[in-house]
Amino acid sequence: MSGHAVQTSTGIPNKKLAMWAFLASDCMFFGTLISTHLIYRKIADNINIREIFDIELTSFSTFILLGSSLFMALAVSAAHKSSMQSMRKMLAGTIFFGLIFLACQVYEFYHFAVGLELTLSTFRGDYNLFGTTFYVLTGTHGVHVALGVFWLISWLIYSYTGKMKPENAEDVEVAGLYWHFVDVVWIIIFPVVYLIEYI
Amino acid sequence: MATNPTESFILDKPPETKSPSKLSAWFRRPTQHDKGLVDLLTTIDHKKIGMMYGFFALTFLMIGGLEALFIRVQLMYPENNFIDARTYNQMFTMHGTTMVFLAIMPLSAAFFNFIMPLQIGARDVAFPRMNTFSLWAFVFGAIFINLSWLFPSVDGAGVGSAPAIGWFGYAPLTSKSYDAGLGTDFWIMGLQILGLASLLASFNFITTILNMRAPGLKMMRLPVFTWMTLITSFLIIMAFPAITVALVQLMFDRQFGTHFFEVEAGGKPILWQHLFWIFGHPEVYILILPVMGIVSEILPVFSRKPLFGYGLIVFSGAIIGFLGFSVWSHHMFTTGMGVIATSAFSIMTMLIAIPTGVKIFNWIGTIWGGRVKFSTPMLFSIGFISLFMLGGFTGIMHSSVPVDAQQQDSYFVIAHFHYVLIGGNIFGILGGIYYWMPKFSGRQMNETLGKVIWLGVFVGFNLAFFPMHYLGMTGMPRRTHTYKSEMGWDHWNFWSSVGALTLGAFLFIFFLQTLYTFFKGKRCKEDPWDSRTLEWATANPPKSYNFARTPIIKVRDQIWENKHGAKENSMDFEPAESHGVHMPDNSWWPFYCSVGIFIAALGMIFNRSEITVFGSTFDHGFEIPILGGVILLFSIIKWALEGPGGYHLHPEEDQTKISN
Amino acid sequence: MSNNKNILSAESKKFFLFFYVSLLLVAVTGVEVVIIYIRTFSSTSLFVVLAVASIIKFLAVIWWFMHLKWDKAFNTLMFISGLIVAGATFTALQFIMIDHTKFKEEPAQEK
Repeated sequence: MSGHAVQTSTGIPNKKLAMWAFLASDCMFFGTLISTHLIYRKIADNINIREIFDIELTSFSTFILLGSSLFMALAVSAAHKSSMQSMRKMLAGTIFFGLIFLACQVYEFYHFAVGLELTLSTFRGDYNLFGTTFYVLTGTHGVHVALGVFWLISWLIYSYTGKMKPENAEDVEVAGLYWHFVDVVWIIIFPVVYLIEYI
Repeated sequence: MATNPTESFILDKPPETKSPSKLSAWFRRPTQHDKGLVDLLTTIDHKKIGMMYGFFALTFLMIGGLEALFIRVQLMYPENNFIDARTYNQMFTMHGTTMVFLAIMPLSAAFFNFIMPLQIGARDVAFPRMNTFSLWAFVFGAIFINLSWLFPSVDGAGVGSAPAIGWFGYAPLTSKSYDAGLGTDFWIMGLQILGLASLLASFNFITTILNMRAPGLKMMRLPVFTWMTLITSFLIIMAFPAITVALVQLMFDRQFGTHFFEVEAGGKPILWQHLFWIFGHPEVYILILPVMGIVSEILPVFSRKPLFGYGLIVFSGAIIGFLGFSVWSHHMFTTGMGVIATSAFSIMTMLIAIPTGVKIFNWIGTIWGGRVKFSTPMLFSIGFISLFMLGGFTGIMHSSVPVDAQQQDSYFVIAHFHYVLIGGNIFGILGGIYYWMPKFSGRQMNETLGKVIWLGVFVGFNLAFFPMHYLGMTGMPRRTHTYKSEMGWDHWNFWSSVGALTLGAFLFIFFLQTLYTFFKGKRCKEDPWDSRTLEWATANPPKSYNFARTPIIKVRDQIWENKHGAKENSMDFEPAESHGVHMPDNSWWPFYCSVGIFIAALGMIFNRSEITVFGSTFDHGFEIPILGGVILLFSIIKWALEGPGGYHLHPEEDQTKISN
Repeated sequence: MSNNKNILSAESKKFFLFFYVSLLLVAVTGVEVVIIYIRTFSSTSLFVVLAVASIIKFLAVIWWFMHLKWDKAFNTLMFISGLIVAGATFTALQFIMIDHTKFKEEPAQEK
């Protein structure tokens, strides 16, 4: 696409192919976590989740993550155009929105754990499975977001070192694929974990 | 830049790095000119990495074998007390874990690493430093699990605190109420590290095979071994996430008090079984498919015929891999999943027999009418076909639910999967080592000794495991510490143990022969077997750059066509690159990354205060995991910033004599 | 040079496309939240709407944001087969585990 790309047999750059293989594998990873949550959700009936969840907050962070995805797509586009200035702006936007999402999640976890006494093992002193699966599932997603933020910050810093070359656009694209996938996972988690409680 | 034909290479680099001082290699970036330990720890050469995989895996094969012999000696006589019951449990747990994760998978990885890039005409894998990381993560993970032998157990029973939960660690045995010690934690964290190594290696192999094929090497011209590498890698990337998540959940149960598999809080131990076997059944094919690839390489060479039904063998492999994801519950027929689920999984399991049978008929078709040479690799391959078939037949018996209900957890099952894993796997791998040893080291294994070893392994194996069919049918349960004489099992247990000791002795002789041949064996000619595939176009052992010029492939079995085929089918070469061959530098950072992970995992085990080891209580919080994490992060950043580095090499054309 | 210009104009076209895709995503999410919020629909129709909305969003992101539209088809093939294996496995697991819980309750009703 840009620079002197290495010739490959499939025409797909190595890193991009490996990233798509990783994403296919990550489907299985989140599939396991989500299905564990769903299976245990049916058993954990000693909890009223509607009074715990705050659908406004979660909707807000969903919109934030969708917005970050737009910034990411534009950052990749800018990188391919070798337009450093707009790539930096878009990356900064992605990182900023990612951080807001993480802040919402930290607030949510804190509110649930301290305010509502929903811990990993108990709810108001009684054993509960909901905290177990909810925290591990959304927490794992949060770790993915945090890693993505770290990755993008690295690229933002690297873009100021003056070492960035046109062929690095491909690497930004790979980071972007990861970021979009994390967004896609949230697109599934939002209805399956949150909205489904209101049906 | 002019090429000097008398020298094998000319350096583009400034002269000071040409003769670096020995000590400094520990502190600067090592290059491919560094020798000794520094080179071994930092190499990015897929051939050296493959050899190290092979060395460690063969060592663990011996350790796992020793554990098996403890089990067999204990069962040799009724009411024996050679080892106590806890030790016995630890032995079979570690035997299974070692053989599956530390011996057979890395042995396959050794072949993947060494042979696959040569078979596709590549200079290395797609991500060479990630390959180094996979190797060291595997080594550290393997050491990690075995460290558990060294820490005393909480209640003083058994040998150290090695896990005693079976290789599939069924809940609730892994719960803290049943195992308060460190064994399960070592097992969890060790498997996580090994899983990471396998996953990264698989992304690497997938990218390499799809993207780095020589010009003209279309997918349907790939050697079958490379095809099986590809399919196995896809199986690994789809199967391992399930066990990763299951292990994370188990770790949370043990470390942070969650209730994934804790019954008293409503958790379901049966979910562990599902998640484990969602990984565990594809894992069975991860173990066997590479060996099917090896056998598909050996049979045509020694029958002097092309592989019969190439396309069918490849697609059967793919179908086996795909169906492998839809049969996991056949390990759990007796748990009562309901009629529909049980019937569905039973039918899917029976279906797998079809592609497997197709493969076996094609192998027989390959031998049929060929001018068969019974060299050692061929003997092992024939052993593979016959013994794997026996294991397959008992497998079909298990797919029938009522039959399985009789055989579940009996020695019949032990017989079944050892026929598949030793009769199938070990035979294929041994055949592969005899076949490719000239490629590994330029030396050839002694044929006479090889045939003696084949006979010993064949007889010992059948003596050890055939009686287990009978023992299982008469009701001997697996994982039993001992038995009463009145059960009528003495006779066959005795002979089974004799067989196991024979098998162990011959495998040990094989181990010694491999080591001896690798370092000291007799040198052999370039193409000792009159082989067919592209790896034999390189030198024995291959030069660091593999191919001086990238070959242009015109047909399947290219080397055979070069030697015996039509002139116009002979392989061409791309013109040499004007700047020579790029040889990237070695790197310390992949090694340091695995050190960081090792430290972090160790810290995760000792972060609980209630464990007392060596008289002192480890009441650390998360300082040690954080320390490991920081090492990991720092190494990743350095790794990302250092770039491939390297120099350019102008290889002498030393390969034309074999290929034309 | 002409190649460079092509990239420039192609990427500039994508700018607006990405913007529209993002509007679509926001709109669909809005629909999801609103139908949950007003709570007048039946469970079944809610479920169907949520499922369809999620699938639309999922496909939109992977198709446009993740460039599958412009990439080699092999990437799509690889990812979708991963998705199918994961989806089929865990759908089956859900049904098996439902069976399992029901199995426990049944004897009480029968006997």
